[in-house]
Amino acid sequence: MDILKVENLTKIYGKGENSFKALDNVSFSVKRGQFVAIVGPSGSGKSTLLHLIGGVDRPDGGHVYVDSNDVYARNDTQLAIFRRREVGLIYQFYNLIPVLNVVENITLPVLMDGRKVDEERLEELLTVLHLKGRENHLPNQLSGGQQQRVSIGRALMNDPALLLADEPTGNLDSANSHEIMELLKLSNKKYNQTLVVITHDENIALQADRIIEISDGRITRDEVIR
Amino acid sequence: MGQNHIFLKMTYRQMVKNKVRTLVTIIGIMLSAALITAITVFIASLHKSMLDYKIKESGNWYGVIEQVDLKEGLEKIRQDSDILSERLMYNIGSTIEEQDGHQIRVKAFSDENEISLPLELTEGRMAENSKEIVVASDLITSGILADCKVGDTIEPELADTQGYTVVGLYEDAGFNVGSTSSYVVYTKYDENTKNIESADVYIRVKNPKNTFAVLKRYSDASYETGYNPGLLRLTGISVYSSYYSFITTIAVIVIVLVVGASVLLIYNSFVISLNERTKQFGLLSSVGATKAQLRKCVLSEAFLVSIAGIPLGILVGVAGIGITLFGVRASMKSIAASMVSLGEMKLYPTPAAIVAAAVVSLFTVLISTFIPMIRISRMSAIEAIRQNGDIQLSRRKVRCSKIFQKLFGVEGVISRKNFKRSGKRYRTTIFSLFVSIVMFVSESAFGKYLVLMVEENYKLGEYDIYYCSGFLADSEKEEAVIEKLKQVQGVKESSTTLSAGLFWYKADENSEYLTEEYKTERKKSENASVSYNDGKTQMFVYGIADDLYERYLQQNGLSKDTYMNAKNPVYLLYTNRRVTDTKTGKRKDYTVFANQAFTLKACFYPVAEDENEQEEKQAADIDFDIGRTVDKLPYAVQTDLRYQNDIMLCSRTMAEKLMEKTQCQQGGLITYFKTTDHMAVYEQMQKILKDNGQYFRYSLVDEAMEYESYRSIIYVVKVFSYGFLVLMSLIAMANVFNTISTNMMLRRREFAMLKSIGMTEQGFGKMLYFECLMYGSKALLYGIPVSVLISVWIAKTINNVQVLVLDIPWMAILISVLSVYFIVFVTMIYSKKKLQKLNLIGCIKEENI
Repeated sequence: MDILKVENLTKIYGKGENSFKALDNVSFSVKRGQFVAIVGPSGSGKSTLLHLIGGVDRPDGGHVYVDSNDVYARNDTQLAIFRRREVGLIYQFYNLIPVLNVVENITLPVLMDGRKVDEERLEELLTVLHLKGRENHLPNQLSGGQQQRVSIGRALMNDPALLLADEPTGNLDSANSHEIMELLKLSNKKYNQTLVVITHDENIALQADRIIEISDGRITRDEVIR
Repeated sequence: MGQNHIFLKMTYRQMVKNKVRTLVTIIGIMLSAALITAITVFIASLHKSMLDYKIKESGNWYGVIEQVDLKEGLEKIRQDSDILSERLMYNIGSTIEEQDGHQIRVKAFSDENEISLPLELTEGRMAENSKEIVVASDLITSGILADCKVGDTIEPELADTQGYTVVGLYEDAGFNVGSTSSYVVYTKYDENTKNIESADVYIRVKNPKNTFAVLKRYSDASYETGYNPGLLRLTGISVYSSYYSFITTIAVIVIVLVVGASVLLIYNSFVISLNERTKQFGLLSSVGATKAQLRKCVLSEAFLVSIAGIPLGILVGVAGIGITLFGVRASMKSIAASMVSLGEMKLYPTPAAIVAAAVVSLFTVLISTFIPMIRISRMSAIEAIRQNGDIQLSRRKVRCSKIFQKLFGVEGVISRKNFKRSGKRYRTTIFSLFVSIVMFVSESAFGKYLVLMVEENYKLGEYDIYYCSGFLADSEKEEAVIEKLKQVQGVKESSTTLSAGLFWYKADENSEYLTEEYKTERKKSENASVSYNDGKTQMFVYGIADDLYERYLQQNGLSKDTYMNAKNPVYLLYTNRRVTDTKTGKRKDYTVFANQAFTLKACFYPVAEDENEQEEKQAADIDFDIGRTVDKLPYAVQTDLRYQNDIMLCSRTMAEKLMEKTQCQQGGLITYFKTTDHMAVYEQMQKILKDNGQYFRYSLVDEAMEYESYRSIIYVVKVFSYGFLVLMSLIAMANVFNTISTNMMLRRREFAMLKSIGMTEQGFGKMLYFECLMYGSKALLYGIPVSVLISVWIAKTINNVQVLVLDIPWMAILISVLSVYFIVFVTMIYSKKKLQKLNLIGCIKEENI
């Protein structure tokens, strides 16, 4: 079943003479539980695509369907709630709230929903992410790898349908990179979460089920590996 | 933990992280709340003090229903649900004396209750029973009850009424709104009181606004009614009465100014906070925060700074105005002495005033969040994440000439380009500085003109008090009174001048002795001469006391033999005039007559034997031998005559001889007093004159007090306005500090990069200082010309009232220039120190929020 369907997605930056097509009629689908790697040169439109899938930016043309629902049929508030509950975003730079501790950063989407935190799920995540004992630490008290793990925890907390990662290991050393990828793959396999990862790293790309290559805003290659 | 709590928590921790900025914002709010509180509490205190004074003066009753019968009428009033309380003033049906058809009525006070009916006693005490009375002192001085004293017994005319013992004298019965209040004597009601005809019922109503409606009911039922006008004016009926509305109008204007300046500061603070947290907000948005939730962050910040700043500000405001009122109370006393409607001004921080201040302060903070909230609404997550909006520069080309580069180096070029491109960001800072500069300089100009105005109008002569004896028949009695006054403790020196009557001269008849300047001025305007009367100019002749005149001649190197020769009188002439050209504002001093010996042809109007003669008076000619003109006058001459009137001086003896010659009966004695404590001396003199049965209000004048009270008004105005200015300037400085320091921090990557490519610490410092120089200069560039214009406008406005010379407040301008550069530099130094502490590489690499 297609968890994600992208249809003729277009994004244009700038106006008139200075306009630039970051995405040009991109279309593809992703099945539930698939691990997709998106590769391509700098400025090819990979991040733009990810942001549009995640409901962070609005397209200039086309549609994005997540779980058969048109993402952009929603108003701003509904879109925010979509981002909160149905998507988990992980960035290259850890993007934690510096004044919140580990637990608060991880449970942020739940707290925004005004719901009670599922303590069991939290415990599980803290264990899996090797963050036990650091619950009250602030981001500036954590290493790079630890911060990225908190970021992953936050992305996973609400058990979203889609996990979107933009160069999640770009800022980490090889040991940490490996660890992070293992965690993401675990989530993909264990929770059947659909994982879309943008990467420059060929090794990471080859770990995916499917590789989509983008160049100049267009899909140039779409290969299923396994 | 609810969704609201997490945002509040985040905001709180963020504020703690940025201690300095948070503190500066709280201080700004505190200052703002303090100012607003000071104003509201001042108004409340003023109102309450005026109310207290009014009640003290005329009582706390609202209306009176007169001559009410004690059975049905009184019962009806007592049953009236609109009436809160009442007090009776019994009308006793006996008269004490009938003279010239006047009836002296007797009224009896009922027992004291919450309604006050004040009687200003001058002697003795209040009547305590129905056998005692207090009598109006006017009844004695006017002769109706002449020679009546405390302790006397007065027998009424009617046979069946008793005699009364006078136990006190009163000056004024403030509660008596009827006419001929002096023809009332007051006794005390008790069980022995006879002949009660009716009672005047003084009432307090539940709602003061209903007073007239309630009274109308009774006036419709044919009762005479009255009301307490001063009290009603101050209590609800028309809170905005004329002498009150002026002050409230000023207060509103000032509050609007304060709110405006505060909004600028607080808004700026929120914008800075927003800028710092843009990426954070972007992240929150991407994680799923709605715009409403992000707006709550801003509101949380507003809420937190308000909780901290407003209560503190209110406390500071109350304390501040209390201390200020205490500090100016001596001045207020002297103002109050000449302005009747205010007694001592006390501090009354009423709940209404505090609540009003809190509400306005909160409102100020909330307005400040308005634009940041809109910005959040417009912000998209992606923009926030990319932080594109942060350092927004204009795309226009900014050229820097080669000369500029040579003079100021690359650091100067970078500063200049930054300055020119980041206009919007610093707009509020420059505007804050601009407003402060304008206000400060304008206020200084205003203060300066106020002082000049007073000095022009109220130049204190060398004496404090003068007493006019006027045209009294019994000069022996008058001399005795004058002697008593001279003996008053505190009188340093005194002198009695004899005004020997009015004389007139025709300028044309004496034209060869006139100065050219006078002739020119006379051509210019008719007003050059005073008191024109068929082309004649009025002149006073003053006979200065012989001893003082002798001293005066000696001081001016003039011969006693010449000028104190009663047989061959030679006079001194003072004809100094001062005019101000309304066009140029220039003041011109000139004299009417040139300094020379000459014979002045004058005339006077002999007093007709029959006062009622209406015929055209014939002037009688008289020549005066003038020895010379003088510029200085002895102290025993009225201050307000100088520069406006012609005065001939001679000794007292000479003046008496002159009066004999002219048969003038219009001369008068004026005694001038120099004192050590003019207020105390004046009080004592008032007593003496009263004891002599004299009406002194216009004849005994404390000139020093008038002068003092105007100076006091200025002093008080200056204290309040400078206090206000200082606080407003502090708000502006806080604003400047906040903006510049935060914007510097936001540009830390840029600075780190510059350092990494080789800019030295010195060069870096130079760049920052250049920038600060430009901000300060821009603010001054707008501020100084505008404030000069406003100063000119103020001068012109005052010139409509009174002509003054234009005087630009250069000192104030200098102070504002120095202050502006000072605050900008201090901020830069602080920012530079902070930036120096940062890790270079960390900043460059920084992608973290």
